[in-house]
Amino acid sequence: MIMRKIYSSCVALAIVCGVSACSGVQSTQSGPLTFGTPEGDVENTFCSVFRKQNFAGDVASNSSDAPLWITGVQAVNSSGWDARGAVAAVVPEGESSLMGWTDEDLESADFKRAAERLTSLDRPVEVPAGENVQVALEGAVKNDAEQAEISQLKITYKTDLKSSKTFSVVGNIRYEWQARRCV
Amino acid sequence: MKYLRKMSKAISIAGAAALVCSSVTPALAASEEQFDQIAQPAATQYTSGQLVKADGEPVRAGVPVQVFAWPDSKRLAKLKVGESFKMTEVSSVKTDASGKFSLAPALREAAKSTVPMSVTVIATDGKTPYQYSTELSSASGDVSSPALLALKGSDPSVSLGAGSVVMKPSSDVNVNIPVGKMASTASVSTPAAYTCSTRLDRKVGTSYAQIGATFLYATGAKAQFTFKKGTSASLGVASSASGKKGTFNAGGTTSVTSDAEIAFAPRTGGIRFYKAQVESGKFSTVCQNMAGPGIRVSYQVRPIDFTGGTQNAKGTGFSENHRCVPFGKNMTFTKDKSRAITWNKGLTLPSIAGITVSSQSGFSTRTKVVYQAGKKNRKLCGHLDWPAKNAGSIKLK
Repeated sequence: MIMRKIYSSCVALAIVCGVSACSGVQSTQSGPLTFGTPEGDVENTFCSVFRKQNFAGDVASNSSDAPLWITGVQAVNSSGWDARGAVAAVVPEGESSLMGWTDEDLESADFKRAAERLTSLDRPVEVPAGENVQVALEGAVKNDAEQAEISQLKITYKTDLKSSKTFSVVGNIRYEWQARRCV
Repeated sequence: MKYLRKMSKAISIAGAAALVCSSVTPALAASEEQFDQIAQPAATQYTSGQLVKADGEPVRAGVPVQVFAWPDSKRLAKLKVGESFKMTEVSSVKTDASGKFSLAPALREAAKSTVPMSVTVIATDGKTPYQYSTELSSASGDVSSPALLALKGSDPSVSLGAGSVVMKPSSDVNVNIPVGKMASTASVSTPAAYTCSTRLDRKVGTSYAQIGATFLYATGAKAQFTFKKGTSASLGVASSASGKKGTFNAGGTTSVTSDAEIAFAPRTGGIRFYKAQVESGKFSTVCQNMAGPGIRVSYQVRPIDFTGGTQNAKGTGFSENHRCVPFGKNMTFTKDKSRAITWNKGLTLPSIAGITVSSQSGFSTRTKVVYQAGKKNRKLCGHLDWPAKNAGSIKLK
């Protein structure tokens, strides 16, 4: 299981960046932040239509007994899509999380309440032990693109803010934006 | 091959693996089927096994453990009644001092295949037989990351330890010990290995295996379940020592691969359970070891092939103990490549076996479910986790 997780993580990271570019980042799906799925091979597709603002989101869990800090969210293998910024927030117990949304969805109270909790990852966001954290990446579809896609999200995080050691995990949702919804 | 059917002893088995069942909506209409699933645990790699005697003590070192592969479901489907085939030995190892044995060689063989490999693990410590049917698979296709999957705990002779499959003496085999070759722990220090062959005695009929479900609690939205070509379903097997009606017990699982894509019609409301028709056969397996503890005969009723027939039934929903995400209008959510749900009572085998066993679709390839929000904002809820995680079933409301 561990080997499979590491293998999956390494494959995903190998796509994103070369070994040298990832130096200093410990890539593993078996660290304290649980993202994707334990099996590592589940993939979901979320489809939406182009809007002024487009968000790709997911939820990760701090499965350890100590806090950790989310430092970044990046797109893995994106096409037709420009990232504008990353946001994150701890999901309060019993509250909804968001998988993906557009500015139009924010007219809905459910979307709006969850989205308003999010803060920019210009500064690390603390995730207490055992808590869930909503992460998201805001972006725009490129002008000449007929469709846009992010194959996965990648979270980078630290277990010690004073340390240079950074971990990363990749998710299991593929995000697509099309002028017409995709099936 | 001459089939010997002498019973020498039947060994009772103690202990059963615990099943984790979901809560069930109590009141059912006559035509409804209840939501009954096992919470699917995270996949665990089992790279070893252990033989444990009925008294709980491990067997001694040096006991041969053989893993025999069944033909793939395509070949099984073409088998004619009365035809037999030699079981392919994919690994032969021996136990260590704690009764443990490695599954690594068998897993490496399984990893060469794109579909799960149905196997029967056979061992004897000189007088006591051990046997279990299961599937070996490497979902990633990478030989360095094999996984032993689909062990449901439905067979009381098998339990799952930490990273290890624990096998107790099997009750589903007859043992015939030839005169002059009486085996005992003392006289057979290293029992010789078996060769096994299996015959399709007869086809025993068809039944429906549950392979999926959709849950729509809103109008104007859509859900569609597709059982894709090449999907392997993990279906329960029934085993018996005598092969007679009424003597079968749950005996592990086998993998059956769909040759055709089965697309159920899109649903616009309600809860539907989707089923695919499978044909089952009665098989007799003879394992011969003239140098050691004799000949063993066992019988199995196992699903052979999907017929292409489908059925769907109105079902009940799952509890409110789940996690939801807002799902905006015009959005589409597709879940595929997922290890799907194990349906605790997903398949009732034909009457000769007369028992209900588990079914699980989406085992290693693709079963797809698509939800479309339509023109209103909705919510997507997962039964066991967030919809995009290991949610089990998903509802739209």
